[in-house]
Amino acid sequence: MPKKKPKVQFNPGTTIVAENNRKICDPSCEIDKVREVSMDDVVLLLGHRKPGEGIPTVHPPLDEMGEPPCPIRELVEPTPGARAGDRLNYVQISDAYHFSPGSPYPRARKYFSRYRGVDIGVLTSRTVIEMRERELEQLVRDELQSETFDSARTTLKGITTHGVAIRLDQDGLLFDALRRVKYNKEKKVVMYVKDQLGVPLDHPISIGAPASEENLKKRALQYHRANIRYSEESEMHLAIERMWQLAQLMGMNPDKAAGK
Amino acid sequence: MAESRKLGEKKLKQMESERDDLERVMLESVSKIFGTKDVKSETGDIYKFEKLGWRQGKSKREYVESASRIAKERGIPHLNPEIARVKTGTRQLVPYFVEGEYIEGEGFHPLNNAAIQQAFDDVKRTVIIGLDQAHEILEKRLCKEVTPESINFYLESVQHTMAGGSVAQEHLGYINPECTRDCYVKVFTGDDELADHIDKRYLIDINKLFPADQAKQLKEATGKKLYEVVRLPTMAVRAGCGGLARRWAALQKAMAFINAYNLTGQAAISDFVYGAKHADVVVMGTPSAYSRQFSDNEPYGIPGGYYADMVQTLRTEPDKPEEYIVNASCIGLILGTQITYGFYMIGGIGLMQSIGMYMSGNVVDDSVRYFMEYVERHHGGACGVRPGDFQRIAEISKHMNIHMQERWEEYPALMEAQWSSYTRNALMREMCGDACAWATGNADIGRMGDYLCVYHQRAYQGRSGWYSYDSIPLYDLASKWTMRPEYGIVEELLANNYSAVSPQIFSGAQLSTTFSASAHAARRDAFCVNPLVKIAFADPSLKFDWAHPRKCVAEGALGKFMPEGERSPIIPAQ
Repeated sequence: MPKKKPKVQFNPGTTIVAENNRKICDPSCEIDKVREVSMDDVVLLLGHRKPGEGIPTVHPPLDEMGEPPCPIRELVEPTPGARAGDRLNYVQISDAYHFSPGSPYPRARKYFSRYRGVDIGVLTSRTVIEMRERELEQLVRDELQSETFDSARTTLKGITTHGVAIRLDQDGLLFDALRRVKYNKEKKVVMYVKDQLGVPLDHPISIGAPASEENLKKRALQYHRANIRYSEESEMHLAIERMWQLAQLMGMNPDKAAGK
Repeated sequence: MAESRKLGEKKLKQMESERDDLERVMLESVSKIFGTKDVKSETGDIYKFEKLGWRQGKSKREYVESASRIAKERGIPHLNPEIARVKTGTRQLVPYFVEGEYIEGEGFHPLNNAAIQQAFDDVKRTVIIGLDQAHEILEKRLCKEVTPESINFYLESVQHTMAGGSVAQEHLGYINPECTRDCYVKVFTGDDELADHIDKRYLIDINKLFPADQAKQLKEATGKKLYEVVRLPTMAVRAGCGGLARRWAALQKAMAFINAYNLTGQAAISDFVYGAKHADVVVMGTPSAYSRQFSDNEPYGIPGGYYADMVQTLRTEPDKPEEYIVNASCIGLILGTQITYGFYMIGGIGLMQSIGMYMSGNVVDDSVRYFMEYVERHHGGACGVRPGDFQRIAEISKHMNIHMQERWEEYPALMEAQWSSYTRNALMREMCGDACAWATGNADIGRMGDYLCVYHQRAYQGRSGWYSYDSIPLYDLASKWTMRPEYGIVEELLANNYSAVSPQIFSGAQLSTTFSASAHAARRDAFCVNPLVKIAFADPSLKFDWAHPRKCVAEGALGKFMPEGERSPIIPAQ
């Protein structure tokens, strides 16, 4: 009898927060684009190289290296950056606790399910992403333009990332010890005045207007007592508690888990 | 399963009233710290002190002034915040509200806090040695008579030898007694008749120090054996390490036997030493795994259950289990996590700050009372839940998780006062686990409640703690119940050596201390895992107050705690 192909499931839950998380995880769902950012601006914000400069390489192009026979190499198609020998580089994205449209775990799920050659670290406040440089730049551009990035509640912080649990400043911006972003009251947009490492930019880069609180609540990936409360998400609780119980039973004695 | 115990309506009402006070004080403190009445606002004038930067902090100003003078004196640069790329004090540098005092973060670094140092030194310098084996050698092998009088004379002799005095050689140098004023030996026994004959200066009197029901249990557990508790000079373990303790104790004890029983350098002497070093000795912790390279009586191998036994609040205030859990939380935090990871493993300053954050604002006090009330009203009180009842344990952990998280969401200024996310997450883990341990009287179930909390945190906030913070709950959940060394272990015996938790901050002895304490407080038994440790730390001669450790730590942070182990007697006057 042919085996039934399992249906991939993403994130349990019935609320809008669960729905948003499913959308982020599921690569077949399209993520909304909310602003336009040029690649030159992305390069400036990352601060790894200057626009127009070539990407430094750490090894010759793979095609010139004459790699040894290897089944894994045959199986895995190199990304363009890997094929060209790009150096690996990083970005760190910091999400405010107070209604940021992203948070570290959903970010990791999003990038793992949509990009290749990505290495992600998840912490309380930040998501650190390492990739070959050209792919990294593309990911950052996609991210800056996407609905999971809000100009006020999310910041590119290559260093000194802490402060997501601090109250927002008077303009509603995420705290930043290096003051990389400023709110332009006239244009009503957030401007980067420093790159992700805190090095001043030659000219400010606009990253668009902050979303309204109401809009951010609709895009939330986190539960919150002032929005969708975690206590409302009973399907999630059931899934987690089942996993928790079965792991214990299976570890202690697999027979105990029979039929559960 | 332990017997279910209700706190009773009277106690519940008292705790409710205390919680009202705690919440009011918590919000007042946050309001005062930030200079705002609106502690519910998500926004604030957070950069208003940016121009002052590090100068906002009184300690920082004093330290920089001192460092500048020292740099001139020694000709080498010293502490200088002006060279830092990231300026300290971009936002308001706030103090932490602990034990009714506003304390700057500097106060919680072990090098700035003599109380934390003393707590740690007290653990490192303690060894418990059984005397019965030595007495047997004296009686059976050396045909000496052991009497209460000879025991008392031995105890007088051992005070002399332990403090560096010689008894068998005529030309040895002594140790300055001002450096060893905290070095002594005391004994205890479960035999009341024998205890009556011991000179009271040397006796840790179980009957006097413990409430009657606890004393009865402890005496039964101790039996007729006679144990001696050796306290090395604080300075000895500071100059050496915890591993020195049993070696020092063994040698000096053998010398005291020579003096007390008129012995000579015969082969039996080595048996005293062997007994004290190996055969009949309880050290506070086992040596660490090879990669960490710490000896016994050092932090890696000290089990959480031992820390929970060291804390004496349930002895001095048996009707306040909530205070005992709060104090055990403090000891677990400063010794189980901060000293082990923040000081020994990582070094530096970063992690030490979290002692202040963790204890700030009476959040621990309030949360402990909250879960006790909740368990009493909904789950039959302490030990009211069967340890195998997954559904109720899951319910308790989830309820506590949501309660704590939503409080921070309701008061963003409180969240800012406890601004480190991993600290808040650890606090949630602790309270969820404590609640489950309290409900079942079982510390292992506390650990399971804690692991479930991490699962929920990840789903709730989309974040947990540092890198791989949730990895331990993922893999240890399945292996914990095996109870095979290296794979699983009884919670009370879990030290930072336990392989599953050893790489992860906040996961090890800190949590096992508080889960063990919570389960023990729920059962209302006399000790958590080792009765000898419980009795040894009931000793009133200790400078650190093990019944009120958090108060001591706050005093230490304010520079009001006088420790032992000063070098002033042997250095030029300053």
